[in-house]
Amino acid sequence: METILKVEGLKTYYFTSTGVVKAVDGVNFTMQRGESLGIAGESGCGKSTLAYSLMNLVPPPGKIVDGSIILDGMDIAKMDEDSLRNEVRWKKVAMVFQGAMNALTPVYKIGKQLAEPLVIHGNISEDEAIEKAKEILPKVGLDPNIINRYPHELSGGMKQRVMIAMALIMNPDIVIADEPTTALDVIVQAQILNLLKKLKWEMGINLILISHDLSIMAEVVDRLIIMYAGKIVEIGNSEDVFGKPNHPYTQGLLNSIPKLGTHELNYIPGLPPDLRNPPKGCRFADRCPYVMDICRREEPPMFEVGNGHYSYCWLNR
Amino acid sequence: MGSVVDVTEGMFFPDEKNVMVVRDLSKYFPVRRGLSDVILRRPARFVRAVDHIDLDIPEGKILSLVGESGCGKTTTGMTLIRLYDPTSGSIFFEPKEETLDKLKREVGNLDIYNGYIDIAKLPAKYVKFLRTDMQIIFQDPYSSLNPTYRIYDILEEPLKVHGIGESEDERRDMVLKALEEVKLVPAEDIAARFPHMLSGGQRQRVAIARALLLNPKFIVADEPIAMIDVSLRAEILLSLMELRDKHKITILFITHDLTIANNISDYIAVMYLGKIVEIGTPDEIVNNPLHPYTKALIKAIPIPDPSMRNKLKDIWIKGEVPSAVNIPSGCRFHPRCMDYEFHPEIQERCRNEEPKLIEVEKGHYAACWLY
Ligand SMILES: Nc1ncnc2c1ncn2[C@@H]1O[C@H](COP(=O)(O)OP(=O)(O)OP(=O)(O)O)[C@@H](O)[C@H]1O
Ligand SMILES: Nc1ncnc2c1ncn2[C@@H]1O[C@H](COP(=O)(O)OP(=O)(O)OP(=O)(O)O)[C@@H](O)[C@H]1O
Ligand code: SF4
Ligand SMILES: [Mg+2]
Ligand SMILES: [Mg+2]
Repeated sequence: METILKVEGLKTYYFTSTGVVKAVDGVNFTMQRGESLGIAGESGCGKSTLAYSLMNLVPPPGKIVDGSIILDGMDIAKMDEDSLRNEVRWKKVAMVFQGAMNALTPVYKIGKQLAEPLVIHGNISEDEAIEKAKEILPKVGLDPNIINRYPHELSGGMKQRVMIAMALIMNPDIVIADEPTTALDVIVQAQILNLLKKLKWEMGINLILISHDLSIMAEVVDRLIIMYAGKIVEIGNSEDVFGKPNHPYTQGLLNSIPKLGTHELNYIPGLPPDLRNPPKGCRFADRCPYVMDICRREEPPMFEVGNGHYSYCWLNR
Repeated sequence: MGSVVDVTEGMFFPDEKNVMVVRDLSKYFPVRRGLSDVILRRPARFVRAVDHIDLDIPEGKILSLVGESGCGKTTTGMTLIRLYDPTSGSIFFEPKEETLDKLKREVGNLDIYNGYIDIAKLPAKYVKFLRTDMQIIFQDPYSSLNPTYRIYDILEEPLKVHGIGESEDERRDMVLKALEEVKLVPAEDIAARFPHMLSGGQRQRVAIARALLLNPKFIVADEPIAMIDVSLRAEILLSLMELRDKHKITILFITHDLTIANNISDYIAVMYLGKIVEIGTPDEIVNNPLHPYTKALIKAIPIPDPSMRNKLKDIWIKGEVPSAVNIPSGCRFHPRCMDYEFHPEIQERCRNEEPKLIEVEKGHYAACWLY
């Protein structure tokens, strides 16, 4: 197996007037070539911040404050802006941004809007970007002439396909899709997930899928990271995380998924902590049904609970 | 005038008493005409958001209205409680006794059918009297609560508007009780906060408390959990189910998620492009879907089991939703229907004649020429 991405001790904080938001607070993981990786967790746990960090494109007042992101022997976390533009963004790591499909402005044609982020962050001219887009559009199931149309002429599913095409233009190694189906209907969602799988198989894309919806993860990813309040709490192969969830938070999340055919409804009582002032031991302690004294005192370390399956919970002590 | 037809007799749920009986209801929105439309004297066009629907809403039950974005769920909900004026059709509703008395006094010639009135025909100026009987909870807990008011004031306002509660003290008790009812405790602490000091889930429960305060018979809950984390959704759903069980409140629950509908409702109605295409119990709809559109919705639901991830998901539908301005002829679903493909013998009918909702199996209705 070839490791294509190695993230170590990553910390990304937002320096706001009301305090420092520790959105990503010491995250470690690796990604192997050919596998699809999922990042799941509740709203606000830091999924998008982690994704932005992987392109070193964290918006202010956010900053990567510590750690490394190793890709092809380069440390993206420490690279200067020029090298990022020339070597990394869109070329090595591209992203389908959360909510971007709804941020297309009504006044410009699709082609121009598709090209813009590449021109800004990627050192490529608008014409060149549009030419490349025409080649890619059929791969996402769209007619290349769509570049001459306006956003309001497209359905939600088509707009999301445009966003996916944009990520593919520079032929990147890794494509991050941040909540690509959240705003879409269930049928369109199934179509988009099928498309992502096809791209993975046919173009050899290494996919990082981000979602708060674990059912979607199960449909696509090989390995799954569960995040809670800025930290990874569990990571493992999909079979293991879904089949033998170890962390009480993962168990709670899996239990909260409404299932067809049962009439059971479960939820995790309480709320995640304020990331400006997270509790000192285990961040899940306040909501955990199994909380022990040590959980409130000391942060749980990583325990290997199976082959390539890790959990940060004191119950494994 | 009076009427010989017994409108309180529903057509879908023989074992139920209905709070609301909806017949042939439509709501069309005019499409804005461009300059060229005017110059070329093109006829006015309409979005047929709700297009001649029949529905019964059983008392003390949760009925879910399910369908894709734009199919007309919100328009239906808003029209049923007269937040929109219907284009045509009837909405027979049984008001609370005191509301009926008030309406009798205010409205000159009010037709009453067995305690029901046709609120579709109620002149706009009397619609305000219905607000104590019917309420709505919106999708977005962030914009539906005024950010500059404390929770207490947000909740007290409707009581003042409708002259409910004799004194400040009485209203205060009612507000705190409503907060406790939706498990927002300590109620006094919550009441003193502003909306931004609450989580999305808590805000949505404030919206439920607000709807509850006027003690309505009927609540439309329009995607109340769509913007709430999966881990917290069940809490809201359980609150709604408790309203049904404890207070016998009738709820029209609007969602695009069949899994959730299956979990909380007594009955499900599936909507496609302005029409109701299937009605049944959740178990029937999920385990034995009749309409090809319902089959497509069910097949598309993601399953939290990773063993299937190396295959593409089978998608039982073609193309995309057409515009509600140009509704296809015959069965409006036929251009997307997979069963149509496999049944040449019905194709001509599907293209030309609109199927009606019929009882295909006991208590299970579908509008499709397959049956
Ligand atoms: N620009 C910003 N300034 C300050 N805080 C921010 C900013 N962006 C995000 N945050 C905070 O950082 C934390 C992580 O946010 P992030 O958007 O990464 O979460 P997420 O897991 O992607 O959530 P969602 O599921 O809602 O998209 C949250 O507490 C959020 O409020
Ligand atoms: N006020 C309005 N004026 C004009 N057209 C409208 C109006 N409200 C809704 N429509 C149109 O009516 C149709 C039905 O819309 P509606 O909002 O009822 O659908 P919905 O099922 O609630 O969708 P969603 O799941 O996206 O909320 C759509 O084509 C919509 O564009
Ligand atoms: S470390 Fe303790 S509090 Fe945290 S999840 Fe495990 S048992 Fe619960
Ligand atoms: Mg996000
Ligand atoms: Mg709606």
